[in-house]
Amino acid sequence: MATVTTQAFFGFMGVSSALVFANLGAAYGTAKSGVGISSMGVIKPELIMKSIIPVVMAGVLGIYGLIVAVILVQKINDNDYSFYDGYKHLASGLCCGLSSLAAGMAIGIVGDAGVRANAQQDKIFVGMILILIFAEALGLYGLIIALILSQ
Amino acid sequence: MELLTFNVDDGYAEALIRGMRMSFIRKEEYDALKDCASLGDAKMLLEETDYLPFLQNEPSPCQPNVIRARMKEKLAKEFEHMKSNAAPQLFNFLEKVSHKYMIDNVVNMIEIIKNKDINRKRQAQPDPLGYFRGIEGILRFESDDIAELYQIVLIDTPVGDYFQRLLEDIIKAGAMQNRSIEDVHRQLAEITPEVLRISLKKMWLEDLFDLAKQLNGISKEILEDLIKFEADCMTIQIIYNSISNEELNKPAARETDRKALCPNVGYLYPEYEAQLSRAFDITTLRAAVESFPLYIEMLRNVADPANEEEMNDPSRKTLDDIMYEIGIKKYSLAFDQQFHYGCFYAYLKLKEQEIRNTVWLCEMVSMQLNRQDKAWTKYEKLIPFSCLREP
Repeated sequence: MATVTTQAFFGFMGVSSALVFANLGAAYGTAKSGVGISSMGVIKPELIMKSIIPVVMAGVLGIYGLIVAVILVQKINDNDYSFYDGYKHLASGLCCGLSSLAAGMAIGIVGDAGVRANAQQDKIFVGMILILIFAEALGLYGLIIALILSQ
Repeated sequence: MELLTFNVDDGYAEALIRGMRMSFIRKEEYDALKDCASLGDAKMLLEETDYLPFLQNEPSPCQPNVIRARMKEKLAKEFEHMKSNAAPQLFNFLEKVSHKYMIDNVVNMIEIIKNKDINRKRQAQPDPLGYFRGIEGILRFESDDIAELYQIVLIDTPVGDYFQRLLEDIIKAGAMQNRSIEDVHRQLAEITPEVLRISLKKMWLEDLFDLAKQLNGISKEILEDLIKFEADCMTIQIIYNSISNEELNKPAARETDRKALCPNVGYLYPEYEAQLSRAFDITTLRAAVESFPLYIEMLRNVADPANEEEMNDPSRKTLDDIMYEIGIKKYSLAFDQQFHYGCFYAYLKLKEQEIRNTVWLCEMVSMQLNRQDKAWTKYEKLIPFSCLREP
């Protein structure tokens, strides 16, 4: 059997892609909605705390990536790691990472537009939250499959 | 991905614009201006705003038209400053925007030449926003043949392109109807300054729209919305004004002449173009725009041009005022997002509105109208950024 370094490469790529892409998504979501909150907060300061919700939801995506990365790191070991496991863990990391990236982009754009629209018309708040929840669900699907794959 | 790349080229320009946004005259200052007893007081009040360096050298009984000229000068200087700090893409955009003022200047001068009005010639002051080199040469032109004027003077100017396209259009239309060259020349000579202005502005707006389509995502989204709104306002205004104008309202002219004046961009184009070109009075016009709540609102309370009484009723707002009110709200909201060029365009429009408001109030003050008159409160809905304040 080949040394464990080749299959470990795939495993560790899974770990890093989970974390890196999820954080990219979370960063985009936080940045974009943060810009919206800043513009809106100047005029309507009382709505700022309510409008932090998109930022929190984007942050959660980073946590998804962290969870999957930690779980995968525990599974990769030095001497008894097959190619099958390596590929499986790569798939797991990519699932979680890229889904969270997608969810983060959606949350960023919707959060920005929603928060600014909420300042004009407060009945939009409920609609914005519903849309954000559906966007967050995409990241959740990625997390579920990543956890299943990591076993 | 404008978040990452916009500030590389245009960060400084946007920061400038955000700083200049603070210089708008606020509601309290307008109210104080309203309570002024004389023009001297009004001038002192304006000197406390951002306009101090431009007004302080004027002798004290300062007439409203002088105030307007100085305020426009300030706006032109700010615009120049923005342009000189702009990267190429933003500079092209700002140049395109300033073509509108150049068109206004050139058409005004053509009007003066046509009317052979010597007095106005001496006093003619072109709008400083639309200044370009060679603008003085137009007034020295002797004959009033547009084609000649174009070939000798305008061809080198930035607006020469629009005149060229206008001439080509007219010649092509003449060729399609098999008219002779003399006929086409005569038509060129007879073109009224109003029709000339509207046709050139239509071409400019379409060009600006094309330019906006090539910008980055957020700029494109915001500018397309603002330009489409402006185009629709232009269309509705043309049809509204033509209701009382026999020439344009005949069924034959509606399809050709009137439709040729309406811009080919906007929310109303192309789906509602056919219906609009058949509109001949206020009810058909309202029916044509009924899919757009904004335009229904706009036309709801406006006076019927066919009805003399309603037109002269001072309690009704004119279509112009209603369009300004809605426009102010849209332009104020353009400052909401970051990393786009919409705020530059909106800044110009809002500053123009501020100049209109201030000059209106100064004229009211100088005419010493009865304080109860409704005209005093006209500015209250037209204050830039007022829609963003607490109700």
